[in-house]
Amino acid sequence: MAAKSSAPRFTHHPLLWLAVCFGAGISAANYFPSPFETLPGICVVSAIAAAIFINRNLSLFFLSAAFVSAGFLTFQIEKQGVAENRLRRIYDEARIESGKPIEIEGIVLGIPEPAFNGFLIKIRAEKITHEGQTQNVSGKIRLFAPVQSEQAALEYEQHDLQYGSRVRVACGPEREDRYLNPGVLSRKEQLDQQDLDATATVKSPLLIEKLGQERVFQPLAIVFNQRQNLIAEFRDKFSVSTAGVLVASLLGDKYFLDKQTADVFREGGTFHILVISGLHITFIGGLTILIVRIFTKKKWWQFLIASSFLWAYTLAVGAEVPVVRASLMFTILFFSQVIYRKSTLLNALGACALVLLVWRPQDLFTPSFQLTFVSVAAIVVMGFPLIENLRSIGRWIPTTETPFPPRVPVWLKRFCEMFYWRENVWEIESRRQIWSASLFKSPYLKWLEAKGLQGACAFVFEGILISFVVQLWLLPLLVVYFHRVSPASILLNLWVGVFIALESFSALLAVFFSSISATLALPVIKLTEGFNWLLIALPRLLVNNDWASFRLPVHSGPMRAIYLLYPLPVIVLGYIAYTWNPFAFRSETTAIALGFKMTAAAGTIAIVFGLVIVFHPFSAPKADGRLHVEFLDVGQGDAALITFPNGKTMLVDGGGRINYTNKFRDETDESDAFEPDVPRIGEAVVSEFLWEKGYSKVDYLLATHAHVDHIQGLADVAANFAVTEAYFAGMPVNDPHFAEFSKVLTRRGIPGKRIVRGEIFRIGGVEVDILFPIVNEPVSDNNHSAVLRLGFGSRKFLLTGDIERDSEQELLKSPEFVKADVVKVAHHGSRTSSTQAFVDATGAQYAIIPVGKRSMFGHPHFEVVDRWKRSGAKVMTTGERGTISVSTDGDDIKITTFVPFLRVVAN
Amino acid sequence: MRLTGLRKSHHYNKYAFLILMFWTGSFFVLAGCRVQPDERILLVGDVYKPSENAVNINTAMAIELEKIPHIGEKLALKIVEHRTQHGAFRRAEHLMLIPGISDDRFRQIRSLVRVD
Repeated sequence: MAAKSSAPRFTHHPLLWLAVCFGAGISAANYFPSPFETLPGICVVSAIAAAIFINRNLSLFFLSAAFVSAGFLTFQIEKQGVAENRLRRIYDEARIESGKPIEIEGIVLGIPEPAFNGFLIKIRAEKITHEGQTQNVSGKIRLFAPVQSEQAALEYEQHDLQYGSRVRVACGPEREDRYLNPGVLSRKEQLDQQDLDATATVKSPLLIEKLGQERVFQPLAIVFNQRQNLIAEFRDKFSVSTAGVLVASLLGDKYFLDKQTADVFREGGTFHILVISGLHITFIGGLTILIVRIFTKKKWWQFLIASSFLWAYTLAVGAEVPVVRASLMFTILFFSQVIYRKSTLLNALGACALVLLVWRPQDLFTPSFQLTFVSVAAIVVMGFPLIENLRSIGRWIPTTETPFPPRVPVWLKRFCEMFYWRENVWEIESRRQIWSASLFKSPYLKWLEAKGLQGACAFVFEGILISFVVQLWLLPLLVVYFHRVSPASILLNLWVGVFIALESFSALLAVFFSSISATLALPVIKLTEGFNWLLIALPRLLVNNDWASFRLPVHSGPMRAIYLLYPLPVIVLGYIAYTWNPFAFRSETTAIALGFKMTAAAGTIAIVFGLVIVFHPFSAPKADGRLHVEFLDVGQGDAALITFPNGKTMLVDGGGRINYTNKFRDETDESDAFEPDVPRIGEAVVSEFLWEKGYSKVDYLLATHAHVDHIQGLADVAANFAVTEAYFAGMPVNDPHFAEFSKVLTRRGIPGKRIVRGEIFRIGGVEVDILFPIVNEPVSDNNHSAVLRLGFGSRKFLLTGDIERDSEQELLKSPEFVKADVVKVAHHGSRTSSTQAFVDATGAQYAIIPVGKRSMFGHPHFEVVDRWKRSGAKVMTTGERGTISVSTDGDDIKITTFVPFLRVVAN
Repeated sequence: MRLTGLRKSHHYNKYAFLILMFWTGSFFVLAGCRVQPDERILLVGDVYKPSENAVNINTAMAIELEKIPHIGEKLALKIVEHRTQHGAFRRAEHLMLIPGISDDRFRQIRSLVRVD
């Protein structure tokens, strides 16, 4: 290879640079679609040129060019190379509408994955029948099969779906983006990242026909079966929380995690340990190597055995893309050690990146790929060299290579000696030498070493250092993707890592013992539960502090450049750490001085950028003197963000999910009520939207009534944002959703206030009139919804909650109050509301219906839409248009929608 | 790799070996040996024969469909609409593709519908 042979001329890690070039090509292709035809030419010519000028520096330039264009090319090939009959293309080109019923024939991949109250099956589709016509297709579909009755469970058992089963399934696969708001993750992109074309729910086992069994690679089938048995064992033996943690962290099935447990991990910034990630693979691979090393000294054998074990595990845990990536990385890194040609870890990392990007170029843009690579790079570039150097400082004794003590400040020397000084080595060494010397070390060191505490201290120190370095590098990614900074995670990573390992071992031990005797297993099961309690106890204690874990928005506009600028000083710091040599000779003083200056400069810049990211001083949009109302697409539900002319904000309702948990709940056992860990609308849609806009604060929350699709999201917003005051109509005592909301308010110290008719707020020149409810009652249903009218200049906006006929009649007693230019149609366009008299009384120009694209209640009802249309109003639904933004300066009205369609300027 | 030679102590390896043998052992062997006795009688398959007066959902008109218990006017119309849009039902079970006909509801009318 040209790159290898010329390596020493330019760099010690040629593959790293080539990977960077390749990645640059891929990103360029993403942003600048260019002529496709010339690229192969450029690529080949550059490669040939590089080979010709192999002995000159020019070669470097051509080689880079070749790799940039190769990256460009691979990306385009992947993008355009999606086959005509691939399911994702069929759905994206709307040849079949998402959600329409079809029949799919295909092969079961892996084994049905147990999930809470059902299971998931992945199918490689081969044929579909749509509207009576059969066609050959390709692509993967993930089916969710709920199991709600004993009968269904038996039927599935009889189906005996296994790896390789050929099945025909009738269902309505879905592939479309939902919750069309800025900042919300695209569903299609999510599917693509998981290597899926569509998902579907199969209502009943009767809709699945098993056609036969294909021949499959048998060992794989065994691996899959073992895993399933182990999942069943864990669920059988341990409590919900423990089983969830074990099944997720050891077996890679995250569907048994309950929300409370998962949230504790997420808030502590340690969720990556819970789902199988690079850390697991490294841990397992490392352990395997340790064992294999006992049996054979031959590196090739070590490599073959360890990597084949690792790949078996990878397949067993479901072979999700991130796990495959981690295993591939481990294999390559280990391989580079086997063919040991002075290859550095950094070079091997470059090789990994190259292989992975050729495999899946689009992965460059996925959070999982970026997080994996940045964290490994952080460890290799900064973490390992730092530890290595600190260790050499702490262990320094005069030798021929290092005759002089390290040139570092005394405090650093003392600090390192605390962890690494080895008194016995020094004693042996000084006895061997003909000369004698005394090194003055603290007497405490001897004591530390004697008590065996030194090793433990060093372990904790190294763990915290690595954890800190990774956090430092990941900061922008964590903010952009998760909107969370958890300083506590630096400590918690270590804690959780240790206890999860202990818990896993003791759980496996318990399973082992229980196959012999139940009484024998009991103490081990208790021990496992104890570990799990400890595992969760510390994070739970810490995350309730605001400094330990907090949420923050992203910058908007040109300030976003900060996320690209931040890595620059960090990379410089990494370079300094990588090349740092504390034993450099005196002649290199100038270099050292320069290094010190550079460290100080890069460190300062990194800190400044980091502070700008964390405290986001300019992220929120500036007040523009207009009144804005943005109606969010929260599916079934309501959420509207009001931005007042002075920049104050009010969120009226926060959307939320229709509650399915009652169905899942086992009536007999209230204590083990299980809430599955699925993202909630208030978090994944409303909070994301607000973060994307740059808010970390919402001044007022207003709950129109206590139904889940209005109030649940407000609880999430109250938990994630700084809120001045919360308002609600009525105070239902026994409502679980209201209880959740008020619990969050109490925890966060947010004052709550009941509102009734007659109340008026004046915020930034806007008058907010509360028109309903008229009386203050401890109920909060549709007909007790808060209704508010915003008045700015000559313009009026009416927000009606879910009021129905009765309330409308009540309001019509004083019809002048309901006159408005823009009306949020009540109750998602249900026929229970929007009576003709009410529609006429408003005289609205725009009627906005917040409703999902596919409402399970059939909203909006066509007669309601018709009624508004005939009254002369322009009707828009959030399901079709996404976020609908209305704004006024008191005179004009401007409307924009997330799905571009119209831009209306009235007057 | 500069860090691989960190812990070359022989004891450490032995210790790790014991732990991992336990672990791999239980993962690959014990879980697989677990026997699940299953004495329940499975009552599935084609035991449901359509009764003599079963309605043919591919030819019946909405009025006839309404006569099936648990199928009201709305569902009957939906069935007809589904038929016109997606073609004939290949199996009676495919009624469940219609929103509103759940697994539960279908099982109750199962013997009253047929497709041929």
